[in-house]
Amino acid sequence: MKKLNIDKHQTISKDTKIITIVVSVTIFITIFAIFGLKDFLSLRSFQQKIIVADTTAYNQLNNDINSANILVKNYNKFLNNKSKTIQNIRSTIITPTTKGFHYNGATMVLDAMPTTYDYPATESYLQNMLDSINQGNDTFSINNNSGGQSAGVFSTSAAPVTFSISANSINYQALIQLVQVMKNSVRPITINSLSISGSNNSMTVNITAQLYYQSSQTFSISQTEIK
Amino acid sequence: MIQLNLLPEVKLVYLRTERNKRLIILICLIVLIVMILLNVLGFTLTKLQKNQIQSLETKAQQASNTFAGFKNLNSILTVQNQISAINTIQNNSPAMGRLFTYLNEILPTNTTLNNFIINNSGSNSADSITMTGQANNVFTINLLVDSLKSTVYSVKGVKGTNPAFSDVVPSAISNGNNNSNNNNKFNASFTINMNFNPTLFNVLDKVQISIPSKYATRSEQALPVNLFSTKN
Repeated sequence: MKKLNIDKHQTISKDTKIITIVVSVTIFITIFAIFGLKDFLSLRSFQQKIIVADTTAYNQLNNDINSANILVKNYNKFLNNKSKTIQNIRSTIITPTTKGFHYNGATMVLDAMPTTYDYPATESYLQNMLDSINQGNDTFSINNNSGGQSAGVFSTSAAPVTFSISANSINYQALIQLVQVMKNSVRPITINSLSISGSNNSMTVNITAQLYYQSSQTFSISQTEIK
Repeated sequence: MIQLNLLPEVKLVYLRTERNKRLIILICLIVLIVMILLNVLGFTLTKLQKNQIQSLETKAQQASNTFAGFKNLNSILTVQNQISAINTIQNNSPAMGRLFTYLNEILPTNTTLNNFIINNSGSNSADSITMTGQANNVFTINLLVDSLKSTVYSVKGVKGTNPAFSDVVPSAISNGNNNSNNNNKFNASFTINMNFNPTLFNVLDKVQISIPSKYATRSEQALPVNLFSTKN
């Protein structure tokens, strides 16, 4: 009986040890499992962000491809438009035309809104405009101000180039004609101020106005870091 | 009735310990299984996400490569952007050609101008006109000032009550030799400063100015006198 009691005590002691070991191992593994789970959760959350961003980028790219297809199609139509308007405009523009030069809608647009500030081109354009009113005593000066837009730098708005025209001894009809020529100019011109003095037959006219240019566009696909 | 517990103490403890051991091992086992399952689930989910990311990035890369097939895309985008800018500028530029029509409508007969300055900034505060000229007498100058103050404009045929000009101030008037017998001579001179409503030159609107009929202006004459003159 006594021996049996000793066995029981030993078994109890052994059980207690087993319990302690099992609980310790369980706690140990659970702690590691909790940390692992936490890492999985944060990784999952981060990867979810990447998935959302990737899906958005992919959808955007698909939309852009569709838009580009439509754009190219319309551009080709625009390019092949041989309307009289464009050909008439061609004859009014000083363009470095060469033999066989094909003047199309795109050339017209780029003549109207150049992508760089070109002083000599601006000068010859204004001279051509003044010559069209057939008055000999006109002068003009261009403020050498490129409007702060550097070539090749993306900008959503056109940069102005301020210039002033001073016309002397012109008559009233020539003044009206000059304003009309500026209005009909292929390159958009904004008149900021107009000063007229003299008589109908001999006027001095000072005009301050702006021409514009806008940097060219570059298509690029950028990458974003997801944190 | 008396109950006797014949089970020895040690046996009782043994049984309790055995029961606790089984219970604790069971609980630990459940906890471990749950933890392992959660970790396996987490691992599987992240693995699936990784595959999804890889698939999306491959598709995005393929889509990106598609753009290389578009020839002259940059030129096309530039042309598109320039057209948009041209439209904006054309719509915002003042229709300065209307000035000559307005001058004929506003200036009374027996007045001429020898200096005229218009500043157009597109904002109400700085859209100003300064005109200097001559008239046959001060009454005509008063008539001009009154007509300027009373001038209203209509947009697209809808008659409005908005004044075309504001802050009309005759800054200098000189009477000169006021000989009422010679009304054709430009004896009086004037300088008038005023602001104008930018709508008058808005290229998108069809604007007409209206001057009250009591003021006779040169536009009503078949052969109006020269608008600009330096003669007195």
